[in-house]
Amino acid sequence: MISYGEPKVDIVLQPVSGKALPVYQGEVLRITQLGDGQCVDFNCFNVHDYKEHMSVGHMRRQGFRIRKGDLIWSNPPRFNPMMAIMEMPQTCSTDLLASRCHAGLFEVIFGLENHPNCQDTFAEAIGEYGLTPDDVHDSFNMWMNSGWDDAGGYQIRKNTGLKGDYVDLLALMDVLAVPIVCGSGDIITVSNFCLKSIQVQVFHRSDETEVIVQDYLRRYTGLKNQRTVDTFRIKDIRTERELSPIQGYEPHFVNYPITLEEIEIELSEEDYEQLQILKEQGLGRSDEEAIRTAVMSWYYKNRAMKPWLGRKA
Amino acid sequence: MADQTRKLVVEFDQEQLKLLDKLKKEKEFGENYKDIIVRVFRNYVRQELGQGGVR
Repeated sequence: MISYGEPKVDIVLQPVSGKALPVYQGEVLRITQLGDGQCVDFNCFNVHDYKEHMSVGHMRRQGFRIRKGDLIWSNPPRFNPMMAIMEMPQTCSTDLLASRCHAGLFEVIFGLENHPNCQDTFAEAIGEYGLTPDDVHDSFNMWMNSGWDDAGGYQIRKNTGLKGDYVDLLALMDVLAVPIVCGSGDIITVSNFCLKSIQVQVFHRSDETEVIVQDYLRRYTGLKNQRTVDTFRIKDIRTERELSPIQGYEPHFVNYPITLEEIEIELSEEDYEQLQILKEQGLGRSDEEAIRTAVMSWYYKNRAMKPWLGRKA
Repeated sequence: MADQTRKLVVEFDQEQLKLLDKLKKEKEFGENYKDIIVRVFRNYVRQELGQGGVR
């Protein structure tokens, strides 16, 4: 068991409330179930630059149901590991698809005009730091037992969380972590139709957590394309809400224009027969397309690195 | 009967060619695009159809 430092925060969040908490590199945020099966939504910002925040969309590349060992990633072009999931019980299903509930949803579905919802809870919590409702981003949802199928169907199932379950998130950078108690669980099944409190603790860094942080940073940082603001072409954050074009602006698209080189190859009759078989199997509509697809598919399968941010191919 | 061959023209963009350049450095598949493309294709066939391979 890894030793953390002493707790520096230890609070209980009542139903439909939340709290924005600075959690500095090496510190651990622990979220504990005080009842059976309460959905917890989560947002996360770089505390030194709020425009860098968690990207649930990119976290899905690790798998749709992230778990112990997976990471909370920030939005490209930053693309930094923000937190690591140190502990997570099997009874904590995670969801990266549902975004967050909001007031309009309950107005449409139930005709309730003022039902507690995660968008408004997040907004109230981050308001303490001067952030606006527009700064709320899609949430990483813990103890949310959602399911899906190949046809695109999506369901929310009975919450499997148990009293005493906890999730530990290790900060790999200085973050503003925002755990909230999801407010939808009294009228939909996400929290088994009963809202419960959660406990939130932050533990100081320890020598052990510092070693783990450095190991993660060694493995998951150092890319040229983990970009910082000083490399941005447009650096300043707009203050005017109305958009208008910058006179004379020309976009600098990467590798634009794409250029093509024609390469003549010779295939034996046997090669050509095999190419035709592959075409019939759907590799390409033309000989040229099928050859290019075969070559590039082979390269991806045999030479590309294992997905850098994920556990699965 | 002499082996017949089929000539094909295949287009690759600059980024695809950078990857073929990496294979060029490996030398296993040849030292020019033409050889590399054919040999990689044969490897693909072996993997997908269970036939052929580097020849």
